[in-house]
Amino acid sequence: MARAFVALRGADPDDRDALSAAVQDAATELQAGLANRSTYSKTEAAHLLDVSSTTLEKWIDRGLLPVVQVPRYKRHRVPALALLALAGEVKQLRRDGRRRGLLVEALSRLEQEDPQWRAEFERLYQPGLAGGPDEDFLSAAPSPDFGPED
Amino acid sequence: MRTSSQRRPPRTSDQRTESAAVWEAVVRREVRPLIDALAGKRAGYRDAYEQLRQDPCLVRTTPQGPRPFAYRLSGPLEPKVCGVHLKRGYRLAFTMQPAQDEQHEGRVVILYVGTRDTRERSRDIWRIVHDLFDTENPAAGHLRPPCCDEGLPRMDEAELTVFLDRLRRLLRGRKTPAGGQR
Repeated sequence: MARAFVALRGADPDDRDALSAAVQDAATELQAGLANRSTYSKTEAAHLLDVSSTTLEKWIDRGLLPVVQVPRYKRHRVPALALLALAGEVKQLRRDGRRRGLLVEALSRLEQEDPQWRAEFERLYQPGLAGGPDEDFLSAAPSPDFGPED
Repeated sequence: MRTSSQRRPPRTSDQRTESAAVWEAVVRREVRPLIDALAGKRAGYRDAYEQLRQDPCLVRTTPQGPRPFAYRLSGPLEPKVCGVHLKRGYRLAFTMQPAQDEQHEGRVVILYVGTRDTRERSRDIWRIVHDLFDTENPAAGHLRPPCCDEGLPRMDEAELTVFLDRLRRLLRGRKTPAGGQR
């Protein structure tokens, strides 16, 4: 995290490209540093996602947000890597004006777009949100019995 | 991680009509009999299937104004389900999932096909679909906006599983799956 601080302090505010690169590096560095903490309490998670505790519990109940049991804590905790990635994505969606279905959209974006997250997604969510086994899906093509107007 | 600036920009209606992107149109085993039951009904499913594969987000420009091929449901299912008008009173409900491979833009998952029947409510597709989601079909305010204008409809696998469990129970007692009109 110290490197992130130095990168940001050292960036030239007039050089947009350099500043943008420094912010990107700092975000990566911060995420790695914060993820070292491994888990967050539900209250902290709700705060990071900027939702109420009730909403957070609802997301957890629906299997949208994973929780883990950590020996030294009495209550379930939210894994840091999943939480931080989701929080960033949710914030982006809010900035884009989206108000509903935030977490589902954030998850599907992460799962679809980030190869690193795809592996994490499968580890955290299977058999939850990840697409069902392909053998459960059939083609929706009309059968040979269908006529031209069918 | 891919940043927001690297994401594909949202397509406009005009771009959609010109897009050659191909979607994967799939159905779960439980729903397949509903589609098979449309053979001989002249419901236009074949055309709708092709359009779902080519571009479920298509918005046609007509003299009466823009007309979406698929529209978003109103009410509690608005984030999850889009509908398509077939011929002869049939409707098709679908949701979308992320692409499973590089060749497709995404996956269209057909949830139900049946008739719109406001007189016999127990056979009405939208009543049935809302029942399967265990939610209320709003009585009014069906605006039918284009399916993809506010993002894509999404359902997670857990919701889909619950939906299909209920559908399986519903179809168990039926002689013909698509509303008994064969």
